[in-house]
Amino acid sequence: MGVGIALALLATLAWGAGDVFVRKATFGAVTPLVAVGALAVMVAVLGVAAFATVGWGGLTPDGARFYLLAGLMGIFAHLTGTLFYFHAMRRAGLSIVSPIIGIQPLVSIGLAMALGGERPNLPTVLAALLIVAGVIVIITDKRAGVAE
Amino acid sequence: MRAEREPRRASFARVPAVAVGVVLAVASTSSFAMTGFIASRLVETTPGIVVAFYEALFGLVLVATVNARFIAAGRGVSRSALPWIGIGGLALGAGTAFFYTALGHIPFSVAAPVIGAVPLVSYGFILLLLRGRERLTPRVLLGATMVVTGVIVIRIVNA
Repeated sequence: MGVGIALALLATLAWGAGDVFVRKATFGAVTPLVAVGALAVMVAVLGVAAFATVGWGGLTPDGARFYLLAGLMGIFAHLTGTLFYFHAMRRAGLSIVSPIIGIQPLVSIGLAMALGGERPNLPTVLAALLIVAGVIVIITDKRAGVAE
Repeated sequence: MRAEREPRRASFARVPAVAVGVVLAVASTSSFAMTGFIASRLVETTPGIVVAFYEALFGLVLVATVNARFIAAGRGVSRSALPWIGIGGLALGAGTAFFYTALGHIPFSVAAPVIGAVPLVSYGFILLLLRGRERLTPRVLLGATMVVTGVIVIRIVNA
């Protein structure tokens, strides 16, 4: 369990940093090309790491179900998720959209319970609520951010 | 009379746009959550790094197809942006690999709240990279404390 949480924390660190690095890139490039470029680097890095870890045999899982679900993940993560996010920002503004995006951990827990049959313990649910509340407190602070 | 009606019509016209925006935001966050849920099922039989590779590969094909005209134009990237695209892709790839490998060790319902702290980490990196151009407020520090406390609680109760 400890290893899993440590890896989730590393993921949090890497994603948090990666978002800012990609944001920096958009100052010198159009957003679609940044998205394609960053994804191409991701594919290269993950491909090399996967090949080094599991070899060629492990890199080609059997069964159409795997490829179908991985394709669905590609759609959800990189197409609808991002596309809906940008259109939501355009229509409702970042101040409304950001807190909604911030509730993702609670949506995830709901999915895990409804579709996966997982039963997180009460302290985990309360801690998730605390994290979501903390994120909302931060992103709705209009005085924070870029200094004049 | 007419002057009274115009502001009402204007405010009415804004309501649907915001409502549509809220629905799209919920759809967006649900999409991201669904990705993690599917990953948590796939890592039961396949290494997380392989799941991460295929998600990124399919994502690249889709995003490149949608943005084909920008790629065909071959313009719009300055030399200064290239290093940030590189380390950005590297960091996001590492994050995906770490998270999907984590899902092989812990339930999705435990891992998901931990990554709720991503905006906080982003904020820290914004302060680091844009030093002097961003400001911290007591409210931000309060929010950060709540997030860190939540992550620590999850770490302790699931140890």
